[in-house]
Amino acid sequence: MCLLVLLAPINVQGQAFANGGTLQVGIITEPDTLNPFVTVTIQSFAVLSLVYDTLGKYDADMKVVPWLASWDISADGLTWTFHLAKNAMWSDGTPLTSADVKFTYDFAIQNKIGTAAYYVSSVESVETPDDSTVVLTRKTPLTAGFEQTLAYPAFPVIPKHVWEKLSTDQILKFENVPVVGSGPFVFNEWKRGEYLSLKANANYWKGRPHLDEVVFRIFKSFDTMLAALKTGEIDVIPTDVPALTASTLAGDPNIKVTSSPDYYTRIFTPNDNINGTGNRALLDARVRRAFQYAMDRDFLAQTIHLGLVDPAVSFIPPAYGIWYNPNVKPYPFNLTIAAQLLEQAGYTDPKNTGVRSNKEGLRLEFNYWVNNRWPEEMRAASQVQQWFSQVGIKLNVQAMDADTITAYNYPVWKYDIYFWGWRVGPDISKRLWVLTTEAVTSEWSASGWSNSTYDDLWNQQLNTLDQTKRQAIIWQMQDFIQQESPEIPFYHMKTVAAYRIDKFAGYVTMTEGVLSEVNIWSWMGLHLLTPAVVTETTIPTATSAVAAPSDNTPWIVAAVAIIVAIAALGYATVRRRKAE
Amino acid sequence: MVVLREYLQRRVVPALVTLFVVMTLNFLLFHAMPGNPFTLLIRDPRMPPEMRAKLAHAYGLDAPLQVQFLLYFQNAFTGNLGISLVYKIPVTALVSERLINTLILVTPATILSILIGTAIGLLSGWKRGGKREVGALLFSLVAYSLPVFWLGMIFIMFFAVTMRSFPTSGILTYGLTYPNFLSYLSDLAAHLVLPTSVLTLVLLGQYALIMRSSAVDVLSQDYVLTARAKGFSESRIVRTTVLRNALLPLITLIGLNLGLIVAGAIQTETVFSYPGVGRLVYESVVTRDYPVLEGAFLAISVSVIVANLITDLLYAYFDPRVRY
Repeated sequence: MCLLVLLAPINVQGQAFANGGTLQVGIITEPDTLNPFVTVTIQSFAVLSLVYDTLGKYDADMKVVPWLASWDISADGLTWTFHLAKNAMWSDGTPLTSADVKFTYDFAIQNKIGTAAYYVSSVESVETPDDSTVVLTRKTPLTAGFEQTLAYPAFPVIPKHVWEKLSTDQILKFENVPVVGSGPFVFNEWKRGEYLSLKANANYWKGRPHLDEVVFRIFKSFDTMLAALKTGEIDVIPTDVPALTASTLAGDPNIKVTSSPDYYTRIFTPNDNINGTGNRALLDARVRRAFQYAMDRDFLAQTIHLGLVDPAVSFIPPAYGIWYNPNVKPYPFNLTIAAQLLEQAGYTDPKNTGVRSNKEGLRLEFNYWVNNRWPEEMRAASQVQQWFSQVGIKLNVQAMDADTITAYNYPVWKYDIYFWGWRVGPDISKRLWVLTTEAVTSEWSASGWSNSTYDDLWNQQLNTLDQTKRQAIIWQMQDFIQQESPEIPFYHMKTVAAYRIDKFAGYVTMTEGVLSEVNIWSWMGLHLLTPAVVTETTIPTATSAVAAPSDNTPWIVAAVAIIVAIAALGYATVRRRKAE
Repeated sequence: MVVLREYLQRRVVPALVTLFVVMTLNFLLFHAMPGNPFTLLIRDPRMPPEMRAKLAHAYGLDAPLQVQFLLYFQNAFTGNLGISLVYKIPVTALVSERLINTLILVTPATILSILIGTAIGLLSGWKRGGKREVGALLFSLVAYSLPVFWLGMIFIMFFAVTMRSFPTSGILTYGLTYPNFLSYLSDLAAHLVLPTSVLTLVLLGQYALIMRSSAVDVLSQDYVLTARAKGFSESRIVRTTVLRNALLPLITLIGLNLGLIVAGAIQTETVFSYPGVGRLVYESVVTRDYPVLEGAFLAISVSVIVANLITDLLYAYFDPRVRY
C-alpha cells in the first residue's frame, strides 16, 4: 500500500457548466431527522447544510467566511452587524428577512435545545433595524469559537412563519418534512430506509447549483454499496470507506479514493472517576502511562487500518490545524518501561500468575468493552490484550453496543475500560471541554477524569481572544493530558471517500472529505462531465490517494469456481440418469 | 359446521391469549434493555443537559413504567402504535410498508423453495441408494448450510458487477418513471431476482431433507406395499399415496417457518439493502426506538400466530385423521 499526493482539480470561478444530472450518494447511516434541533448524525447535518443556508460557511481552511450574510464586528467585539443577501427566499416563496434571523437566535436562546444552544449562550440581544440588517449584541466579547455559530450546519436560519407556531414539546417531535428551506437545494422526497432526494433550488439567490438532483441512497451493507459504486448505480461514497475495501477499488480507473483529515479520534477510555465503581487501579496515572507504553499504535494503524488512519500522540487530531500540538512527547512502544512503571506503582507478580497485583490485593484485571459497530477494533483489542498480558495486565475483551456502554457510563460509572470515539466537529473548545470537571458532572465525560489544573487551562483558553496566546494554552493542555493520560487516543481517523470520475467533476477536497456538511464548495461546483471541461486549473491540496495492486479478482474466481462446480454436479447427475 | 366452530374456538382463544402474553413480553423486553432512545442522541457534548428531560417528557417516557404499559395496550387496541422516535413518522405506516416489502420478497421465495425442495426430497427418497440420491442429498445439505451473507455477496459480485445482468440492491430503480404497470413490474422483478434466488436456495435445503426422510418412511409403510400389490404404477403410488402422507411433517415445518421468515429474512435484506421489516427491527434495536420495535414485533407475532392457525387448519385438511 502506498500513498500518493495528487492534485485535485478546482474549477475556475465563473466558468459556466451545463446544468443537469442526478448525483447518487451512497450512505450507510440514514439521517435520523431533518429537525435541526434534535439531530446528531452527520448525515442529517449534510442534508441540512444543503436545504438551509447559514450566515457563513467554512472555507477550504475551515475558516468561517460570509455566505448568506456579510458582517462587521465593532472594536470592542460586542456588536456584530450582519447584512443579509437581499434576494434570499424560502422554498415556499416567502422572502427571507432579518426577522427570520432574529427568530432563529431568540428561538435557540429561549428553548435551550439542540447542539447549537451552547454556542448562542453568549448572545445578549438581536435587533433588526431593517429587513436585511441584523445587529447582534453579546454579553462578553470573550468565549472563543463564537463565529462557529455562523457556519454551524445544525444551526441554520429557520423560517419564522413555520416554526413560531410550535410549542417546545411539538418542536422536539417535529418531523420537518417537507423542509421549508432556503439553501441551494430543496427537499424533494424521503423514503425511509431507501433514499432521500433533493432538487436544485432554481430560485437560489446565489444562482442554482449545476446538479439537478442529489439522492442519498441508503445501503445496509458496505460491500453492496461498494458493488453499486463499481456498477455506477451510485456515484460517490463520501465517508467511512473501510481500509480493506478501499484497497480493492484502487485498480478501477473510473474510481478515485481519497482520504482527508477528520475531527474524529478513537479512544481507549479507562474509568478515572473517583466516585466510579470500576477497577480502582485505573485512578493511578502510572498505570495509565504503562498502558501507553504497552501499545504499538503504529502497528495497529498499519495492520488494522492499512495506514489509512494517523496513529495518535496528542488527543487532539491534526484536523484542528493550528490547535493541534505536533510536539507532544510520544510514548514509544516499550514493554520494559511499562513493566517498570507498574513495579513503581506497587504492582508485582511474585508468584508468576500472569496478573500483577498490589499489597492490598488489587489485581490488574480489567473488562474491556469495544463498540460492536467496529469489528476491526475487536481485532485491535485482541492484539492489545496480548501486549498487556506480557506485562502482567489481563484484559477481558467483549464487544458491546454503544447504548449499553453508555448506560453503564452514566450515571453509575460502572465499567473498567471501553473503546470509544469522539467526533465533535470543527470547534476546538467542545473537544477540549469533554475532559473538564463540568463534563463529568453533566455526564458527557467518557472517562470521568477531573483535574483542577486542566479546568483552569480550559477557562483560560476560552477567554483568550489572541490567537497565538490561545494556541499556547491549548498546546499546554495537550502536553498535560499526555502526561496524565486520562484517555488514551489510539488513532485519528480520516474521512475515506470513493467516487466515480467518469460522470461528474468538480469535487473539492477539504477537511472531512469531498462531500460533507462543512463542504459547500463541492455541492455547488459539481457538474456533469462534458468535453468543455478541459480548461481546468489545478491547485495542489492535501489529499492522498490510495493505490494498491489488488482488485476484485478473488471474488470472480470464487464465483466462477462455484458455478463450475454446480454445473459439473448437474452434468454428472444427468449422465448418471442416462446411464441407468 | 358446529364441529368446525368448536375447533376454531379451541384454536382462536389460545391464539388471543398468546398475543396478549407476547405483547406484554415485547414491552418488558425492550424497556429492560440497558439505555434508552435518547442515550446516544445526547452523547453529543454539544447538546445542552436539559435535552434529556425535555425529550423524555415530549415522548411520555418520563411517566412510570406501568402507566406507559397501560397506554401502550390502550393505543395498540385502537390501532395507534405511536410515532417513531427516530423518524418522527407514524409506526403503523412505517411497519406496514416494510412488511409488504418483506412479503413481496419472502412469498415467492417460500413457494419456490417449497416446490423445489419437495420435488428434490421426494425424488431422492423415492430413488433411494442411487448416485442421484447422494447428489440431491449433497446439494440439499450444502444449500442448507450456506451462509446467506456470503452467497448474497457472491451473487452480487457475479451477476450484478461482472455480468451486469441485475441491479445490486434496493427494490426499484431510483428516478425511473413507469409508462405502464408492466414496466413497473419488470423493474421490481429485476430487483427481486437475486435476493429471491438466494433466499430460495438457503430455504429449500431443509425442506428437501425433511421431505426425503419423510418419503423414505412412508415408502416402507404397509399401505404402499398394498398399493403396489394392487398393481398401481410407481408414479401413481408416489403421486397419490406417498406425496400426500409424506407432506404432513413438511406442513408443520412450513407453518413454523412462515412466521419466522417474516423476521428471518434480515440477512438477505441486509446484503441486498432491501427495505424490509427484519432490517427495520435490527436498526430499531440499535437506536432503542421502542414504538417501532413494539409495532414490528406485534406484526411479527400476529403473523406467527396466524401462520400456526392456518397450519392447524391445513393439517386437518391434508390428514383426515385429524378431527375438527
